[in-house]
Amino acid sequence: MGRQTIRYTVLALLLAAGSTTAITLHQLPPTTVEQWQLAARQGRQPALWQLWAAAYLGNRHAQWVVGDYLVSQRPRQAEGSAWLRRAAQQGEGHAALRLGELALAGTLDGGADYPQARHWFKQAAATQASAHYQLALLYKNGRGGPADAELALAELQQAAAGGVAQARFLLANAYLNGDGVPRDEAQAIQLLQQAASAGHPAAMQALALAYQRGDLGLPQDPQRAANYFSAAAEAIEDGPRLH
Amino acid sequence: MKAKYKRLLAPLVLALLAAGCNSSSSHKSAQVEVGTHASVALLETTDLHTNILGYDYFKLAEDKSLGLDRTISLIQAARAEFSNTLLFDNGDTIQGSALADYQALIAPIDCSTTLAQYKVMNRLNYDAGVIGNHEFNYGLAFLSQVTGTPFNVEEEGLPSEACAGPNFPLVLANVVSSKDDQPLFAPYVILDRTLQAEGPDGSTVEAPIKVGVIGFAPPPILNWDKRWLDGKVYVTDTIDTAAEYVTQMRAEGADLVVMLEHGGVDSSPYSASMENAGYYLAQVRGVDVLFLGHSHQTFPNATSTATGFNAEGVDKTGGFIHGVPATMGGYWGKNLGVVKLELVYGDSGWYVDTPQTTVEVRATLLGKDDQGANVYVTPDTSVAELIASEHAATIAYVKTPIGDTDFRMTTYFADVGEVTAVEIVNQAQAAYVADYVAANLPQYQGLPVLSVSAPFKSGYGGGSDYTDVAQGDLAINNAADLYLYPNTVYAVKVTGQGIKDWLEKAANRFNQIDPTLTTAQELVSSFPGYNFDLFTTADISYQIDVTQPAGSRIVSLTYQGSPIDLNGEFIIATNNYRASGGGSFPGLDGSNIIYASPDANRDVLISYIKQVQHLTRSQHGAHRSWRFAPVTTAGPVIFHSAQGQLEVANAAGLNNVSLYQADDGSAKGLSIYQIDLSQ
Repeated sequence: MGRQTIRYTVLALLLAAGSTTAITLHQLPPTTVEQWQLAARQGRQPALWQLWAAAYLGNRHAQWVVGDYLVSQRPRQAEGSAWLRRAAQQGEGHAALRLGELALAGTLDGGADYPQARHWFKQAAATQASAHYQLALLYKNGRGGPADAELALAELQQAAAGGVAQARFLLANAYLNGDGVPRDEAQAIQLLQQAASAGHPAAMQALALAYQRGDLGLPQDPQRAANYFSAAAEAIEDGPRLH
Repeated sequence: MKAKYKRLLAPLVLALLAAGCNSSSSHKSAQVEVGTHASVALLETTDLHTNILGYDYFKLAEDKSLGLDRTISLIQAARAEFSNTLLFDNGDTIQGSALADYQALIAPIDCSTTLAQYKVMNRLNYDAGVIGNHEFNYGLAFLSQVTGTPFNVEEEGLPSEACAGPNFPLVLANVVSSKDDQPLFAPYVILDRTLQAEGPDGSTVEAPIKVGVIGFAPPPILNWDKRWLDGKVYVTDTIDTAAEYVTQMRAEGADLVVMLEHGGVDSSPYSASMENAGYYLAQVRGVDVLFLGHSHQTFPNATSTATGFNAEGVDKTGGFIHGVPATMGGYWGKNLGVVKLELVYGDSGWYVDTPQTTVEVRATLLGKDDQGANVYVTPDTSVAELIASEHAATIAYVKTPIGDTDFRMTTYFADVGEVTAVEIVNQAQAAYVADYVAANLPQYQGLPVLSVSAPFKSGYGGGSDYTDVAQGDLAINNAADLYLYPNTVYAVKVTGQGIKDWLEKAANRFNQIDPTLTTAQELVSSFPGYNFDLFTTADISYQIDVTQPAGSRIVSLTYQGSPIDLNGEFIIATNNYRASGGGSFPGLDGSNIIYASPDANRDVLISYIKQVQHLTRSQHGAHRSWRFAPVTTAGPVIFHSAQGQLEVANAAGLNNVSLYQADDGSAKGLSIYQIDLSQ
């Protein structure tokens, strides 16, 4: 059965069941869909049929959730990617971001597809701060296109401003080393503290080490060093965090 | 009045009175007079992580900066100070120290035994507690057993009866069984308490009050503890759940609603699965007191730079979030959160005289003495008695040999080629990553798997700031000395050029040496020793030419005997700090991580030692990958290290090292040694 046929069948069934349901599912706002995502990720079946129905009816948020759910299951990755593309084409930023991440991860047979990654992250960057971070790395390392240090820095700054902890961590390094920006220890410390607040273990460790030795313009403070080390120990136990 | 009507009158009046009492909008007690007032202090411990005594099981020494035995002094002081107190624990209670691991993994307690942590808390008469994320670390069967809570989940080994556990209720509203869609624990409790109050005439009276307590754990437990929880439990939307239950609690007569949020304060846009929901939970109607935790901070905290504490609506000095008194009592027992409410009994029942609310975080650290040393409150010594056997058993466990070494493992001369404390770390990391790649990353089959690590302690703090593990038995506390930092193992994929760049950065450890100078030159720069990443494998060989400027020092870099293929690909095992960009190493920016493992480097090291059992110098402590490029210098090249350790250099075969000056004059227990770079 073609997708269009499925769509109209579902629509017809729902219209038979209750005409407002179909329209509501099509227009469902992101917050409700986010709750479905929470449910779907936990494999709670009753939530899934509503998601599928909404996805078939063209709801881009539902398409993103369905796609995200499927790509996490290896055998259905291609199917999931297709849903993500539909969502991305309708401007769903999360879907574009996920497609970029999939392109970076590559498949078991092939390596990363950097040009594809650049394409998707550029699209996602409209709404997703993480996309700016990924673009920063691609531009910096000349992947999927020419290297461009200035553009990389601009993307990094956008990502940091958008709250991406790892971007803040890298930007802090840039300020510490005067790498593309003027050397500014105070700015670096502020960025490290923001990243640490967001639970970034390496940022916590950087601050711990600085307080331990009295580096980076910070006073030697064994108490604060110990606090940051214990925070890092807690943060790493809570699972690996990159952004 | 006619007799028959009189007979009906009394029951009718009683019925009306009862109806009045049961009305949800005004649960006025017939016993409490309007105008009665009472003070109540709500106390919070959080993130105790089974730090019961002020003791560091890795150093096997007293540590006064932590421990519930000192927090107890704060609790007792508060109970003496305030006419009414309620004591709550905000989660992450039963995991996090060697004692916890001992009772959960090494010698798991049985159904009739109460965890040491709960034994002490039972003595303290806690009023209620919440389940935090780390409570799930040992699995659902263990959690059910030790909390004395039967679970209805799809899980093996669940206790068939209600086991021994805490005497106080544990609540958790947002974690639900996939089997029956019911919360694992009671989502909330309503506690009946009697307040010592003052009547409107000033007389001392007792007045009943109902205190509702609800709790939340961070939703990401489904990732962090996926292996225990996947498919068995799910989490619900934090705010929806809170709003629903708080309404119910009020309907059931709760005069006060206390929220135990095992989470911190994050003002980013709300998401149903956000980790730190305190900012939004404070906005749920009907919450009187918000307890926070998880992020190991203190709140209120006037000088905090934490983003969430500086968000709109957060009073980080007074301790209010959107007008709700909130506190976070640190971690490991270092602090006690105290929220003091002035309650007044009005026409509709108890209400909080909000302008009188005060919030503070008290610390076991009192200040410093004349010598600048920290002064702490005295601990409650009955705790040590109560858990004496568990404490002794834990020490014995930590001291239990996991292997042995026929050589002393130190970093005294790591700057000049000693590898005795670094090599085993590299071996453990490389083996761990190689196994993972072979099993899970077939696309990298055939790539060499190597490892780098650094001497973490290289004398910055003086002669005792070095790693020094004695020859003989190795125990867990030695592993803590060999791997210092809270890191997880990360593997990156780099080219041969990437390896060279990595080593060039590490070679910043040294000053540029001028071979023509006749005066003494310091070899080691201010570049930190913990960034001096090095290989310790027969497969890699290189020289560091210190006569060259930084960036051009790595020469003769070979892999398996041939010049390294600069375009070749290699997998390098390292840690999360380095791989994410820590130390600003070129090419290490998070973009080439192929494996971000959940396992701590220290734990990987411990596992490896348990596997190898017997460490020998020839197999695990003598593989030097690097030497200095030979150069004859006109004057001495010197460096500092601990006094009296030349024999370590000799044992490591560093025959070009000699004593230059017995005391370097820094009063830090250091000598100056000399290295002959021509050898």
